[in-house]
Amino acid sequence: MGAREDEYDYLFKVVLIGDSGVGKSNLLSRFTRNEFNLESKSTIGVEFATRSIEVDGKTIKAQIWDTAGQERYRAITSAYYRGAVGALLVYDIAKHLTYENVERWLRELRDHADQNIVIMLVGNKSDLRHLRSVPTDEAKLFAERNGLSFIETSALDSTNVETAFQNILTEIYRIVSQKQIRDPPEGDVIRPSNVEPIDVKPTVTADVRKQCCQ
Amino acid sequence: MRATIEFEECLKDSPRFRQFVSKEESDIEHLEQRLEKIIKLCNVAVDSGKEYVKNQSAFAMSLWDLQQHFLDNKNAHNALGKLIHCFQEMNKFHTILLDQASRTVLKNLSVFVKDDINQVKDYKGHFLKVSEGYDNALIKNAQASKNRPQEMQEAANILSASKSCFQHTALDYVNYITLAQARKVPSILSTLLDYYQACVTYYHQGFDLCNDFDEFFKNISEDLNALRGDYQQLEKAMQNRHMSVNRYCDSNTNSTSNKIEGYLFKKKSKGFKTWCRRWFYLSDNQLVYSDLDSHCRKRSNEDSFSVMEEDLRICSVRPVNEGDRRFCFEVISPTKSHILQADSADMLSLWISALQHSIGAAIQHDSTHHSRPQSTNTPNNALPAKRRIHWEEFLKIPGNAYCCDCRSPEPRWASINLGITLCIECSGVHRSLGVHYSKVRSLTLDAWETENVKVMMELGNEVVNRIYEARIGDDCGLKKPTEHCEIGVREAWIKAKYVERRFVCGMPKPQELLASETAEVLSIDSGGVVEDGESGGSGIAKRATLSLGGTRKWAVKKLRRRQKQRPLPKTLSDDPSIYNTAKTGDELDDDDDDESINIPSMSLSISRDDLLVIGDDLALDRLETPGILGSDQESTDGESDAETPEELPFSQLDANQLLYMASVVHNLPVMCMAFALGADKVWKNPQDRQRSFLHQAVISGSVMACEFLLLNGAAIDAVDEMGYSALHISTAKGHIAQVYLLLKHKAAYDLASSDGKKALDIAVDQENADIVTLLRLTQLNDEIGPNDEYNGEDETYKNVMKDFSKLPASQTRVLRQRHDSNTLESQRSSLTNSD
Repeated sequence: MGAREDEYDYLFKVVLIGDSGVGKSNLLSRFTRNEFNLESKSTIGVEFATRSIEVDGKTIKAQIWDTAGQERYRAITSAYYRGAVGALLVYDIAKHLTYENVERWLRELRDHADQNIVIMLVGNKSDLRHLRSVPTDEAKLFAERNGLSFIETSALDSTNVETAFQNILTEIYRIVSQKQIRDPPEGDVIRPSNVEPIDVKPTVTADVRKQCCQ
Repeated sequence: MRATIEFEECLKDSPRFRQFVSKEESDIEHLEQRLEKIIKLCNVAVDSGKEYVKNQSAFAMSLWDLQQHFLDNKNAHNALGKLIHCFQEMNKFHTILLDQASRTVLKNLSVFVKDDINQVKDYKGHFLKVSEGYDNALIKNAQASKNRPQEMQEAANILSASKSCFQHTALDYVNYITLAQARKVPSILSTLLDYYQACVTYYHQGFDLCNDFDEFFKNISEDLNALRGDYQQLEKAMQNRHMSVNRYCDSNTNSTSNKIEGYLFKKKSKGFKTWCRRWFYLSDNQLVYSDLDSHCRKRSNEDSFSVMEEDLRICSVRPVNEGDRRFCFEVISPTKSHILQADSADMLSLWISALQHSIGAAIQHDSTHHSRPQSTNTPNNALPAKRRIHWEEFLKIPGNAYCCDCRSPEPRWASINLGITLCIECSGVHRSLGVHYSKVRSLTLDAWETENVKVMMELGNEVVNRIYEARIGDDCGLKKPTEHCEIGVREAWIKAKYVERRFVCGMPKPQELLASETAEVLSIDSGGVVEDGESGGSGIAKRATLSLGGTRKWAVKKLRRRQKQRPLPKTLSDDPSIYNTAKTGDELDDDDDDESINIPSMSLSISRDDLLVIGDDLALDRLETPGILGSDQESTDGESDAETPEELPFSQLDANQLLYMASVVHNLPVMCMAFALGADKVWKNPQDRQRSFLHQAVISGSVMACEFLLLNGAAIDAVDEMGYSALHISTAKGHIAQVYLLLKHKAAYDLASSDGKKALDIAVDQENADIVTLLRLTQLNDEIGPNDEYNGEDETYKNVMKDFSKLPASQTRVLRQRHDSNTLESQRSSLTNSD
């Protein structure tokens, strides 16, 4: 178990949440294994998958927690959100109720997750154009009003899946790396030991400080 | 009296008359203009006065509002109230004055202008017309020709008529003028006099009002002087404000007291690892911080205070130099580490020394007073559940008030796998035996897991000594240790007691039991408990004389503990022999599994003629026992297999079978006895699907029994003939607490049974979300691997696992989830879950 098959600079925990049947598991399988299964079963408890991407020359390993949407398959809520730095809140553009329930999921995030968590609203199943019941503009407006980023995806035809994950991970990376400039290394971010510590040049730090103090 | 004109002049229509008329006319004209100006200005004054009064009353209303602000200051509230009342009265007077002004000035003068002056003016027109007619008549008369007498006559008539008319008119006109002129002075004066009187009334009212309030306001101004004095003193005190900066710094850096509080930057241990500034302080040996940040922003769902370290005694503090931030220090406890940052080097050293001082004081306090400070004002809910048990409760368990080995009072240590309390010297010896014999914990310093507490509750020194010191009367070449004995004595005794198990009585031999009708059986009964007063406190094992008539079988007593006193079976007093019959067992089974603590003891007793029940003792039934924790209550809550203990033939009575059977009924004292009798930790029951003790404990639904077996080295991953491990079975039974316990003890989760199923497969089949999550999470954690110094993920894992440990046992939750069809989720899933 000790053998680490890959190396990474950052490890981010991201949770996938949203109503049952909106396609969370397929989003995950499309992103991590490029697979899609029309017949997929309900997720029980939680499933995990990881994939690494590059941002600014840094390797970012995303540890994605695909949670059960159905209440009877959910484990205790607090467990899902511990240590999560990002959340993809998924709804089905063809089922309006799943969109209406976004508010509930946001409330759960507020109650259980870190207050800095990066949240992306994801309207999945964009391939079902003829069945659309949630207008893109409406969801976009809602996302703006709640300070979420927004994207529409289709796990079936792969539209935007890559972009969605890439965007949220990049956003998290920006936040964390900016934090790091302000309060540098010293085990600040989850990092494996066999990776070179990310050195922030002192000059940069000094400059930033100077600007602050002006 | 002004000049008037003779009526004669009027009749003569003399130039003087005309002069008089035009003079009077211009005079009246002039007067009218003045009066109109006065009326206009007075109107303006009244209107602006009304506006003023309106604004005044708005002002008073705003004062009422201000008064509400002083609800908490009764004096200010009253004074303001009176003042406002005064203002409002004055305003009322003003309203009256304005009313009077409009009544007098406006009305009277208007009437004068309208009636008198306008009359004069109106009549002027008439007079002019008549005067013109008269003139015409004069001219006509003058023009009349001498030759026309008729014409002359006519003109003379007209002339005389118009002359007469003119004269009358002129007289009337003069009359009007004169009257008007005569009336203007009294009218105007009386009007103004009225107004003056209104003003006098106004001021008079005001004066009366002020008189009424005079005393009150005098008092207020006296109070004011006092307040001003206070203010000046305060001001003077405040002038020295900047001095306090220096003094504060001095006192801060000089202070040696362990009372310290203030802002520190705290690094978040998870998520974004941000720094936030929090107010920290020390309270009751705890390091506590306020959840409010320095800008008073609060997260809605949190309490206002969090406990960072629950017990300073197990913490240490050190400065942190690595990293870019200055003035950092680290608070380390066995399970956690927090990085904090002070504002300056002085503050850093102050915090470190204060913390170290507090830690020292806490330990000192603990060792001198032997009591953990009661947390009275700390937020209870911030403490995890496992700390709620007060360690002193452990000492209430029978025998636990004295060290299990040397009998010295106030033991502060425990051996968690033996379930006993120890003094510090004996605990040291126990440590030296190695953890496979004794696992030592501090009662006061260590954090106790619930399941360990339960094990302690089940056993205790008295019960354990009945097992491990059963035969000290017989064979005692050794000196028994006492409170102040030498270390060598202790070592020898403890080694003999637990390693060699020299004082443990032997297993009753079936052959012996069967050999004679009446056999003297060495029971594991009651070392010190006086049952009937005969055997005294001799310490010699009481020997039960058993009538073994047709005894062929044995069973382990199923433990039932009750909180409430249950009426004993009536038959008990009459015929003790039937007390333990299977029939009684059935009666007991009708009860719910309400297990409180009754310390059971081991004994052999005869229940039915042919059944020997092990682990049954009546003597301790009514013993006062602490009701701290419902022992195994919750872990066996959902247990349904309350069948009567299985009976086995005597030919199968050995330590392993005894442990095996005791595990089924999670009878810890008997399990303890079986270990003492040398049960084989890796033994499997060849007659029962190759199952191990742990399998049995898991099946029994008890978390406590599992913990006890694992503490005593039972093989965690043993599989039965179907290839099922304990984890498989607990998963199949949906027992979250057991799964959690097994995973915590590092059970192998990827073992496949003979039919190829892993625990996870079973959990998925059963749709048990919590167990699936536990298993997958543990696997994930192992895949990530130990994260050496940066144990970020590890921490998430630990925290999540902790969440699960707080779940009450389990089956109820699963059932609730399965059958709860009313949740919104299921409603929504019924709509959304079409695929």
